[in-house]
Amino acid sequence: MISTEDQIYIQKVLQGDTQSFTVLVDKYKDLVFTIAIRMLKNRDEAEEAAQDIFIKVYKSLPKFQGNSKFSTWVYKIAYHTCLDVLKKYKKETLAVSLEDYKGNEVSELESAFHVLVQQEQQEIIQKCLTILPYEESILLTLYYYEEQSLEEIARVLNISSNNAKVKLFRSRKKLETILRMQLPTEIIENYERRNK
Amino acid sequence: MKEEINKEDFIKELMRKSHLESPTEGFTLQVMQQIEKEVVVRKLYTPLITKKMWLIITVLFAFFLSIAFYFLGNLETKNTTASLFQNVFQNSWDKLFLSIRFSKTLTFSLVLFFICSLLQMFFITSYFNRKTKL
Repeated sequence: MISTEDQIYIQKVLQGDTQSFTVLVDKYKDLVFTIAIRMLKNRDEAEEAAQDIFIKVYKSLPKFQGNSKFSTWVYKIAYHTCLDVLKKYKKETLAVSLEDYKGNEVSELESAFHVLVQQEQQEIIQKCLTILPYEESILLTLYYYEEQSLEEIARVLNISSNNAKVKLFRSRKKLETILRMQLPTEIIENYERRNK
Repeated sequence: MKEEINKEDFIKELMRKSHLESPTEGFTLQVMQQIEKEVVVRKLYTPLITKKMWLIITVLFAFFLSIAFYFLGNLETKNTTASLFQNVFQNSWDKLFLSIRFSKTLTFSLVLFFICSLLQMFFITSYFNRKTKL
């Protein structure tokens, strides 16, 4: 199940070639750091946590049996390390209510979103993903960005596949809610007026 | 249903427009430096006596200690009430050793030798551990 490239480098590291680990760090550092930043909401803490994650990965490498994708295994370590940091500092997580959600207005929201220039769009998405509770944010990133299957995501988050499916559905709704709150009110109102 | 598909497409588009966060430039180097340290520490802390060796030593020690007690018992408590160790060794296989005779001095020196060896090992191990501590 491991990609051949990963397998080659894992074998090299296990045989004592520590420098081969650089390739694995370079390959996964962005996503690991993204998971850390979405969970800890702080760049410095996320960077420190990401370093710890890679050291844990290195130490646990002999235990990796290849039953899952190497990336899934790395993301799982990342997720649980960040959870430990959250528990240690007893950080509160932001809750987004679905009560504010108006489910049938996606077309207006989409049109309003497309009015923004590309850079604004990217900024607003990043902001929304930071506001989104970490579990949902990671779920969406792994599903849409990393194109991981629901089974793999369930393994990372330590939940059942069905639960992952339900959470994915809720995550989409929450992201829409946050996006609606983040977009300039005038744009949304303008599109809502046009559709009435 | 159509609305759900639209929603999913829209979220997909949003997520594609998002980008992954990147750590600072020297991130990989910092990780590798910490790993190199880890490797050095791991090499330095390789125990002088492995677990297997400790097991062999313990078995040998127990064996010699039992023999010592057995022969001491034989010499000292001939025809007296059986002690705990005599009870253990008074089964059939103790006949194997009946012809062997050790003097008290030899038995004591053997026990003392093994106790000293173990103590020495303990001190040598802790000495090297202290010396190699970073």
